Amino acid sequence: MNKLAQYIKELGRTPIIPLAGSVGLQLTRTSMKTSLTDSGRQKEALLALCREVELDAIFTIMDLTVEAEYLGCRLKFPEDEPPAVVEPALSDEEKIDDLFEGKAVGGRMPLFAEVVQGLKASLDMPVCAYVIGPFTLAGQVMDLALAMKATRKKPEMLHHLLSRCSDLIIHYARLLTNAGADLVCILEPSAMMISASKFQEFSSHYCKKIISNNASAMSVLHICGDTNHLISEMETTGAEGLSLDSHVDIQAAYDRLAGETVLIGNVNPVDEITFGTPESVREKSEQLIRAMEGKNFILSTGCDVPQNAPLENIKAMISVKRKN
Amino acid sequence: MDREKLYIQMSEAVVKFEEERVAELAEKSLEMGLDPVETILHALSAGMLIVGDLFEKKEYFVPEILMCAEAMQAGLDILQARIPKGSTGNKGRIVIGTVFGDVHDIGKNIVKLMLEVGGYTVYDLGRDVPLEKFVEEVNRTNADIVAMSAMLTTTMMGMKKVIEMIRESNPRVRVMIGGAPVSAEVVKRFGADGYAKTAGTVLEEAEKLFKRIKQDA
Repeated sequence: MNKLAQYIKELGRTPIIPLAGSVGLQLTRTSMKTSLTDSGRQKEALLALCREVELDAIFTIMDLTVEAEYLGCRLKFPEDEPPAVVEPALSDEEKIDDLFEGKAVGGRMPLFAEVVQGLKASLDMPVCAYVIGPFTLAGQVMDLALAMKATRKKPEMLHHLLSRCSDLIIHYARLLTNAGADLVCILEPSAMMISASKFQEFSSHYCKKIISNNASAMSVLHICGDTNHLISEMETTGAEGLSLDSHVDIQAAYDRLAGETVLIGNVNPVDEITFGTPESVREKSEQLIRAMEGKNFILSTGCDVPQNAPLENIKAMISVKRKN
Repeated sequence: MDREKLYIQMSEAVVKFEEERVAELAEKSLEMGLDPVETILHALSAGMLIVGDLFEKKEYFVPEILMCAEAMQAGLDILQARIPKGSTGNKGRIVIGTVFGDVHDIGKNIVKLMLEVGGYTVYDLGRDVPLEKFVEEVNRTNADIVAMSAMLTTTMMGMKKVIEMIRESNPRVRVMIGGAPVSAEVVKRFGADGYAKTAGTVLEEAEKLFKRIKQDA
């Protein structure tokens, strides 16, 4: 049974869950870095957002570097922007096993588990958390361009790395679930850059493993950008929901699904949420809700909303809830 | 083998990312006494144009482009060693980089390569480039175009600042932008002159901008 589809059914209307955790930072005047290094401050910002906006569920603040940092990748960690990997951890492909030796849970993983636990204790709504996707993590650990080329030149080495990455992600997903996360969303942005057959071989297979090993939580797979070529393969991961970016025609994508998979999306976080007006956001949101009426659909943003986006636009998105 | 046949075989070898074959044919072209500048244009650049087209059609993706680029580079290294400095890259000068805060440079590197084999001189500032550095480099190199990319919605905002600085200091310089969050709407709002949606369209876009520069002059 698809637990996410069940949740929508029980709610009785289209849930509205923007990926907008970082907008909460405006309310508490917390810097991005502080929120990603201090669980209490992140929780405080997200609770402030929940008081201000009637969300149907809350996501933690998106951070694509937690697992990579734990594995030893060097980060750039600016005060007011999301962190990014600047140096891979793996310099010698022969030493993959050494890199993962004794690694299960660590770095800032417990911090996010604390945020989840804190939110769960204070809120009566599903709490959602993120883990990185296996191919994206492999790209961070060994350098993305090298990982891309390895799909053709060194597939065995890449599979070995992906297998170790997946095991680590499973540990983290379980940690988050045990802390109370109702939903774990896999963020696999680098997969947007590869073909469907390479995605099947080097990502979806491993996503499936992560999802089936953390089956008590609801599962979502998010890939940014134009994923029109990947929709069917994304579904084979067994993810209960697919989160699609604004480059995808969500209605057309829905028609291509084989099962009862939920689609999540896809108001443009830049053109609409950041630069749009409350009127344009409302119009776009209503349009999506109407188009997807009666289907397994969650209204969300196509991708993470920049922290400086106007709160009024998030409110405008939520406001369409009462009408349907 | 005649010249045309060699060009075709070499561009096909680039498209099929047969690195050794490209190198072999590059050597052969020199043995045949062909002008390396012409070979770069009619074989390597022609091959990369096909690659760009396959990318547009979603038959090729980033791993394939990177493999083609590697194969092309093998030929380029051999041919460039025989070319006197200053006899290539005459189509124009372009400053390129990913904006401050953004370390994602795969797309930028592909675009740079497309421009180089397309006959432009490219000054690469790398990744995570402080915004004022773009203006400094334009002044230093007397470039005609600034090409910037950003992968994140947050860092993207830096491009707007660079465009404002360029308008102020070098109004004749044209600006093209790219990257995942960039849309036609963003181009309009930021006041950029051009927009390469993917690496496959970058040469076309650069040609357009240079045409405009010539008309303005």
